[in-house]
Order: sequence, then C-alpha cells, then structure tokens
Amino acid sequence: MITMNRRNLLSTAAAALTMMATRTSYAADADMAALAAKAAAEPMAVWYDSSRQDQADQVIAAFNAKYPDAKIRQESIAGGNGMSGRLMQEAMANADSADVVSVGGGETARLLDTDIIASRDWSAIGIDPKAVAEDKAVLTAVSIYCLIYNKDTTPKVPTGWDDLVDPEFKGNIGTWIRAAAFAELAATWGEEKTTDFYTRVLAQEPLFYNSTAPLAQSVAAGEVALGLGIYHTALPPLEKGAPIGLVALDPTPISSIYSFATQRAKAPNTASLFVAWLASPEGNAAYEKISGRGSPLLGSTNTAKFLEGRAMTEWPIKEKASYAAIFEKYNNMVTAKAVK
Amino acid sequence: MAKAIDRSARAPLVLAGGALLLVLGYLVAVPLVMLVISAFKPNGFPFESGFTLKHLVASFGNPLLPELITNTLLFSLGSTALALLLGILLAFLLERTDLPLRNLWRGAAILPMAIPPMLLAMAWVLLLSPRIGAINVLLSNWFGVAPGTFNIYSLSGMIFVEGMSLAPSAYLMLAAPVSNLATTMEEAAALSGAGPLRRLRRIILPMLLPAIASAAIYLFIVGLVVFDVPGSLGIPARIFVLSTHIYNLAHNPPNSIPALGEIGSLSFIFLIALAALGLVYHRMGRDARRFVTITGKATAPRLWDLGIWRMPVTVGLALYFVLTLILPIAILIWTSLLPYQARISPALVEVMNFDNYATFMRNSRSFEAMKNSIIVALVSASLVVLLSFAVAIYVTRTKGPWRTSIDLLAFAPMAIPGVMIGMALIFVYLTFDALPVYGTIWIIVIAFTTEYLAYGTRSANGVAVQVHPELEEAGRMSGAGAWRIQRRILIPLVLPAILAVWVWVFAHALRALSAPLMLQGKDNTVMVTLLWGYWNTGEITIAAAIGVVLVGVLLIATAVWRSAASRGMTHAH
Repeated sequence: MITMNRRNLLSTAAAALTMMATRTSYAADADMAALAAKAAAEPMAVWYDSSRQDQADQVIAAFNAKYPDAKIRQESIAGGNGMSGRLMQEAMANADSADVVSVGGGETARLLDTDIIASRDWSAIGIDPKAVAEDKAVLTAVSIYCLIYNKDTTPKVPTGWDDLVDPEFKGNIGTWIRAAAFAELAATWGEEKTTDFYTRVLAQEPLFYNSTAPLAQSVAAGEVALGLGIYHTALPPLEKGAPIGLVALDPTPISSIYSFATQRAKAPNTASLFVAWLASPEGNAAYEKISGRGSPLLGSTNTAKFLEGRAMTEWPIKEKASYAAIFEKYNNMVTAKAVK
Repeated sequence: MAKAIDRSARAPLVLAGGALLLVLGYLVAVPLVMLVISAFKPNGFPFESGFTLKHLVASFGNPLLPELITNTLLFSLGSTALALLLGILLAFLLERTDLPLRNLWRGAAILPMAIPPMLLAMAWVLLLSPRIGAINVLLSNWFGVAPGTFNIYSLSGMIFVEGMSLAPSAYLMLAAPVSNLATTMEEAAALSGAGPLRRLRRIILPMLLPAIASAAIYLFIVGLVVFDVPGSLGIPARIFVLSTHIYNLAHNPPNSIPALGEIGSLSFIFLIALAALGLVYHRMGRDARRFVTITGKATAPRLWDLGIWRMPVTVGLALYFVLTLILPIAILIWTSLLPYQARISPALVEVMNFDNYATFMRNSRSFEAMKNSIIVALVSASLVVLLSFAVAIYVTRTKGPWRTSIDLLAFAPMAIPGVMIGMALIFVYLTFDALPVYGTIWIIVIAFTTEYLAYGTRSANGVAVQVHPELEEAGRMSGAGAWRIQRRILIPLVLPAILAVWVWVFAHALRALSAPLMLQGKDNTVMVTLLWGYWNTGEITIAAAIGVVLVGVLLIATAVWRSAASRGMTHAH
C-alpha cells in the first residue's frame, strides 16, 4: 500500500533530482588518474550491456581516448532479465563473467540481494552520493516514458495522461505489453488511482507491442495515432523526419539504468574506472550519443534537458518489490481478457 | 554357427545404435534433463540448491491456462491444416506435373523462409492491418469494401500468416516423398478405370501417409511452440497462446530474472503432446513396408499432364507466390529504402535512398557477422543432414536396438523452448572447460543442430521408409558391403530429401534469433543478432535492409540447391 508519506518523499526526491540536474556529479580527475594507473596493469575487462556492439565500440573508443591503457570490451546481452539471469548462472557455475555491468533498476535491485555486485567507496572517486544505490550501483542513465503521436493522423495534439483515456483516441492507441510505465506511475499516483486509470486505458482497446521500438515506428507509420512509448526508441524515426511528435508526461515515469563493478571482477580497477567515467559528463555524453539515454543528474545531457522542471516517478530501488507486485498485477490485467 | 553369424551381424548395429544414443544424449538429453530439473528449483536454475513444487502449482493452477491451451490448439491446428494443404498442393504441382518453369517455382517456394519472422510479421501488418494495410486500403479505395475488412490482429489472421510461413517447410518435407512415388500402382489403377480423384484417395494419399503424418506432427508441434507470429499479431489484440505466455515469463517476469521454473513446468505440456504424437507416429510406422514406393522395378516418375488446367493452375500458383513471396519481399525492400517505417504511399518515393544499406556496410561488425552467419548455417545444415539421415536409416531400415528411444530423442528438441536450450547450453559450457565453445559461433552451431534435428529426422524418416529393402538386398547379393550399399544405392535415392533438409536448415539457421541472441558472446555476432540490435534500438528500416541481404544469401543457396538436386536426380535415375 502506498502511503501519503512516501508520495511526499518521492515528490521531494523528484524535486531533488530536478535540482541536481543543474549540478555535476563527475569523478575527480586526480582520483580517476590514480585508478587509471592501476587499471593499466589489469587484464581486459568485460562489460555486459544491452547496446548494439557497434555502438558500444564507440563508447569504448571514447573511453580509450581518455584512458588508453585501460582495456575493456563489451558483450551485448539482450534484455535486463536475460542479463541478470546470466550473471546469476555464471556466479553459480563459478565461471568467467562480467567485470562491469549496466542494467535496469529492477534487475539491479534483484542483484543487490546477491553477492554479485561489489561494494565501492564511489564518493572517494568523486561520484555524487545521490547517484549511488547501497554503496554498490551507480545511476548512469534513465529511460523516459513519453507520449508519441503521429502529426498526420492524430485527431488532436495530445498533452498528457488524460489523452490515453480520451474517447477520441479509442482504438487508436498503442502501448507496450509490459505495463512498466503504469507500475512506475503508481509510485506517485498511488496504486488505487493508477489501477483505475489503467483499467480505463485497457477499455480504450489499445494495440499492444512486445517492444517499444516497433511501437514508435508504428506510430510513425500511422498504425496508431498515439502511443505510450520510450523517448529514446522514438528518436531514430524522429531524427529521420517521421511525422511524429513527443509529449513529456507529468509526472514522467522513468526507468533507471545502473552500472556497477562485480564482486568477482578480474579487472576491478578498470571496472570502477569505467563506471566512474560513465557517470562523468564526458562518459555520459558518449553513452547518450549511442543510446539516447543519459543521466538526469548531469545538467549537460539531453535527458536532463528533456526532464528539466518535470516531476519524475519511479519506485526507489529499495522498494522495487512493491513495483514488481504492481507490475505483475497490471500484466495480469492485460492477459485476463483471455479468461473472459 | 547361425547364432554366431547373427551376433556378428548385430554387433555393428549395437555399435551404431550406441553411438547415436551417445550423440543424441549429449545434444538432446542434457537440455531435456535441465528443463525437467528447472521446474523443481526455486529460481529455475538447474544447479542451485533447494527443491520446490511452486512452479508446477503456479503453472497448472493458473486460471488462464485452459484458455491459453484452447487458443494454442486452435492456432496450431488451423495453421497446420493450412500449411499441409498448401504443402501437398505445391509438392504435387511442382514434383509430379508438367507445370512450366518448375525449377523456378521450386526456388520461389522456399524463399519466404529467409525472411526473419519479425520482419515477415511487419510486412503482413503493412499489407493487412485494419488501418494502414495496403490490401485493405486498396480494397476500400477500388471496390468500396469497408475499411479494415481484413484484420491481421486476430486468431484467423495469425493462422493465415503462420500457415503461409509454414507452407514452404511442408512442401520441403513432402517434395521428395511425392517425387519418389512409384507410378506402377497408379498406372494399374488407371488401367482398371479409376479416375484421378479415386487414384489420389485410394492409392497416392495412403502411400504418402507416413510422410504426411510426419509433416503434420512436425507442423503441429511448431504451431504449439512458435512465438513470432503470435507475438507480433496476437499480443497486439490480447490473444495469448502458450508460447506468448512463455515469452512473457522469460522477458517480462516480475522478479527481474527469467521465470525458468515456470517455463520448465509449462514445457511438460509440450513434452507430453510430443511424446503422444511420437508414439502415434511409431505405431503407424510399424508396418513400414505398406508405404514402400521406391522399388527395384521403379521407373522415373512420370509427370501428370495438366492439359487444359495448365494455364489456370499456373495463374493460381503465380497468385500464391505474389501473396507469399513477392508482396512480403517487396514490402521488405520498400521498408529498407525508407528513412522510417511508413505505410505504402507514392509520395514516399521521393525520400527513398540506400542509406540503410550504407549504414549496414559501415558497421564494423557487418563483415564478421556475415561470415559467421554463413559458417554457422553451412555447418549446422551439414551436421543436421548427417545426423538425421543416420537416425532415419537406423530407425527405419535396421532391426538395431533402442530404435524408439533414438527416434523420440531426435524428435524431443521440438518441445524444448529456445530459451531453455540456450540456458542449458550456457550451463553446460560454463562448467565444461574441455570444449571451449562458450562465446564462439560453435555454441550456436550446437544449439541449431539440436533444435533442427527434429525437422531433419521427420523429413528423413518419411523418405527412408519409401525405399524398398529389395534394393539393398540386390546390392548385398552383388557383394557390396553395408557402407557401399548406403553410398551407392540408398543415398542417391534419398538425395533430393537430403538436399531439401540441408537447404531448410541453412535458411532457418540464417534467420533464427532465439539461440544466437541468448548465446551471444564476444566472438559470435551473426547477421540476425546484428539485425535485432537495429530493430531493438528503433532502426527498423536498417533491420529491413539486413533482411533483404539475408534473402539474397538464401537466393544464392537456393540456386545451388536446385542445381545440385537436378544433378542428383539425373544420377539417381
């Protein structure tokens, strides 16, 4: 059950995040140089991340431009769940695994319950404590949920959440089969109000997509006029001239992405150096350039600019169990049609 | 003395059976056992400690299950019936009639297999979606048909697309058996006054029963486990089947790790269905000699003269290929030339360009991915062919021990969801250092060889039972050894089927995503994982360009297949 106190707390946290968007939280250069010197003597570090390999190559090239003696390569692993599953499998088999990982908040919370993630004194190398979860994982980026609409086919320009339940859009809406945005919305609206709202969204007979990228493209193609999608998956068609527009929501659901070094890392200093660099303005810019996702804590990122002045909604990492319960409940509401 | 001879003749069979059991045990039994164990482990990881029944309770106590099973059965039966009907028609038309340009049609029949399913589903959405589907729009504009008359997001839409996409597999499974049908009985029936329909019903179809049953069982199981079409066309309309439920358990679990325990539990349903169908097939195959159609007295199959039907049949076939091949590939090419996905409109011609192909070529991983894909497809196809025909010959043409077990083991991988094969292989090769394949293309080859063995053995069995033992007996009488008999008599006779299996596996290994994605490591990027990377980051038009390249690669493979098949047929006859 969500209490008023926690909502207040979340609002305060969201406001704090917005304020922090104007601050920088990058690591101190001197500390990073010391870390880089230690990293130079280490073997090749392995980075588990879901980006395309050619994109990750660009991030690593930018990293190596600053730290040429640190060695790291990426292994592209599909989906956060797949990544957490693989890390747990590798840990059980005591097999070679990742040195450094970038994965979603839900998976990070799950892994925080294991001994897979290493503890680091991240503040000692200049990381803003606000970006650190339980001394282990560092917030490096967020995925932002937003409205995507087709400028040619929309009956009206959408402005916010209410458009999803507007009869004018009935049968003309697309949404992700994962009800993650609504589950995160419940952190601010409360479970009862959000459940009622999601019930009304389902009554609009939306089309469901098993991934947000095809959803954005479907809006571009006119398959649906309005979609509740993810900002970075709408950027490719938008940048190439598709007739789509983006509308920020209030509050804006976000899904955090954390990076961390692993307990069994063979190159622990390289792993820490890489995480710290990813959290810096320079590293974050390189990551945002390839993925469209950046940190909301760094004022320089497009992500922070898009979110500037907006309230964000996301379950705190310690309360991801509440998120999981609501997420499962909403997913069941979607599949429940089958038993009617 | 007689006993000693029996024992000496049996020894090689025991050895061969043992070797097959060993290989299949390694490829199939390991993931199968892991699948079963995972159903009883707290997090579904086979090697973790603890034991639980909670996954079984959750899976089988799920109130959605009856509806999921009903939807799954309807979808699978419908798509099997459609694919089988089309496959049989294609096999007869392309193998047994004097239809013009048969080689061209044969190539065209399998090309749709090269289109990655997610792109094929996208193409059908652009053709038949209620709002932007080109066919719906044209029918509405030209004939005043109500907008959205055809809705691809429906159970019938799913059956239609799955049936169409399985038709090439059905054709490939049936082409060789149909082509091998002996004409003597047909001719005798014709002389006795039996008309074409009566001959079809009383002689031809009964003789083809094992092959048709093989194909039907295979297609039905595929319909039970396939995800792509239900995922792309069913999920949007909230039509869920077992495979989409399993997908959600793997990709959208509430506790942030794949729900392997529940997946393992639900897979019992597939395993039970598969075992039941496998046993039915075995009972039917007991009297295999009933289905012999290739004898020492056989002549080259005579082609049926289509007569006045030649033109209507040609037009009908052309229409079929327009619908299943030309339109989807045209949509794929159309999308690959656009900057973003869009409905079909002449206005977009202005913005068309080759940027997506240029982006693909500039990708530092493209060359490596293409090389890896081709190696994986070539090796997997060859291994599946070798193993499948070894299994088929052993199971259908010898009295060796463990035949039923070997055949069921070869069939079993169909019931194992791709995600579980991937998980099992990760476990095996994480702990088994002696074979360092983790993160290489060879782990993908192992996954594909396991996954496609069922198709290979179903096809091979259907053909192997058709060859009369008298041919081998004649070889033995002439003093030929067992290997020489296989090489000089049996293999040439079943060569068209061997090549058909090879090209099928090659095509599927080029486009299959599940195993390469799960097993992706540092050195094993393949084309389809590259494609998925673009797809998943919103670059769907670049993904379409890679799809076009894949179709091109398969076009070349198809040309090689047809050329080899033609040469093989000439030698065999």
